[in-house]
Amino acid sequence: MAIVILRGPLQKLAGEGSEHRVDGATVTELLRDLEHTHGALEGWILDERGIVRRHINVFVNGERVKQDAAVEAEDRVEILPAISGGAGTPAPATPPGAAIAAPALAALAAIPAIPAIPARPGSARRRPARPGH
Amino acid sequence: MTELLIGTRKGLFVLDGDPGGEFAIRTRAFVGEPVDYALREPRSGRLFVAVTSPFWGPRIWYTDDLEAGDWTPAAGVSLPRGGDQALARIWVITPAGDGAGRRLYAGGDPGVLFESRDAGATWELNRPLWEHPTRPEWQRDSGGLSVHSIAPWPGDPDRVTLAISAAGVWLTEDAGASWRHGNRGIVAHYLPPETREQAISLCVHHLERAPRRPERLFMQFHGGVYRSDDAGESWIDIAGGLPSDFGFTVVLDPADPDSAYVIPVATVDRVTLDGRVAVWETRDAGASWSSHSEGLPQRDAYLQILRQAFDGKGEGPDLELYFGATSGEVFGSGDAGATWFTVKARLPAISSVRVGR
Repeated sequence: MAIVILRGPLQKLAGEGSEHRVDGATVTELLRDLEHTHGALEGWILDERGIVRRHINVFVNGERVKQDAAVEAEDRVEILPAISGGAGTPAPATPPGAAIAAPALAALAAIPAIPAIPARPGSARRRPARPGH
Repeated sequence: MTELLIGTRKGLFVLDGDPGGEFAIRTRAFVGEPVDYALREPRSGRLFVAVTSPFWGPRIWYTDDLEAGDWTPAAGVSLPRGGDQALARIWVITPAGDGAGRRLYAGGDPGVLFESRDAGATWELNRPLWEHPTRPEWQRDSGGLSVHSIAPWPGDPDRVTLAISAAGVWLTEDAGASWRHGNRGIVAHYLPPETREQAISLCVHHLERAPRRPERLFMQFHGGVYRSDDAGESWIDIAGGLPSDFGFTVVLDPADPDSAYVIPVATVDRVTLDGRVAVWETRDAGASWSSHSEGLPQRDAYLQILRQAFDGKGEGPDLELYFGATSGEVFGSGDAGATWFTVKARLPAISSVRVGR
């Protein structure tokens, strides 16, 4: 089993901490199993077509991968919002829906931006899926 | 006190105030995320927002306690899994009206209607519209393929009129079990003349039903303003007298079935005409129109006002009107459009303006 690490709203939806042991030979299989186990995640990472949403990046052991990449036992898989999705803004610093009362609005400027993780050209792992999995 | 729900490219802004003065920002939610629509359901007070997260996709959220920020994602707002299409956006959320209990409708892209029978907690895709045999002929416009206007019949929630851009007007009398067109009389000048009569790809921009005379509807079309007196079966062009027949919005005075307000924009660039902002009103079902601009910018004001960014509260002489622009200004009127004031300026680009209460 690989270890999927969830943060932010995904962690909140899945509950039970940030690390989840999940079955699957590829990223796609892993994400489907994750959705199956944690129904509240359905539609958040994979859209109805089964495609990873456009502005989500998947990293395996620190390398950004495509969703057909193979995954092995004990691999650490992180699912993060891409820097491209916010039209120039960083990933949300507050959970979706978090209300901010008027007195706290000024404090927004003090919230530090989440550091962007650059996608290194050619770093995507292209290991084929293992036969039989 | 009036509550305004302002959907912007950077989140929901909830404003409070009284007509005539600047409104205050009471709270924000979904900070940094595109809020395409917001609605406070009048019977329950429940607040809904349609958010198209660039990361996590489109979703309807609701709360019964805005100040606590305790939002819940609604279930079932998605297309069938394993297909070749994904939900792109929710454009509108509409209560089914008097006598409809806890029923609501929501429309979205790609040309989809959802229905909830439990006050918005869970939703179900309307399959007859999703699987309609004419769907391959529907045409996307620059905003997508959107169900953006939903007009239930007061007292009969099974009877609904929809507008889809660009797939025209749709009518059901059986709670969405079957759908048929209501396009007679609409002329799409962007199509070759020989194809117009049978055209399905009709780009309706906004549609509203007169609550006191439900067989009457008003429509802002992609080049044309129309009225229907037969529940949407056929349409009469009423744009004569307007400075432009192009626009995106229409609001009615609930007390007067002969009333409509539109904001004409230029056909070429879709901004307010000649750098002046004006709201045009009819009180004779479109036979004549009058302009209201007192209190609105009259110089160098090229505003873009989107289809969900105009709404009203109350009726008759006390009708309040509010609209917002993509440049971040919100304008209001407390006297049925006679005079206007600036509600708020310098917000992010405004997608929707709805009166909360």
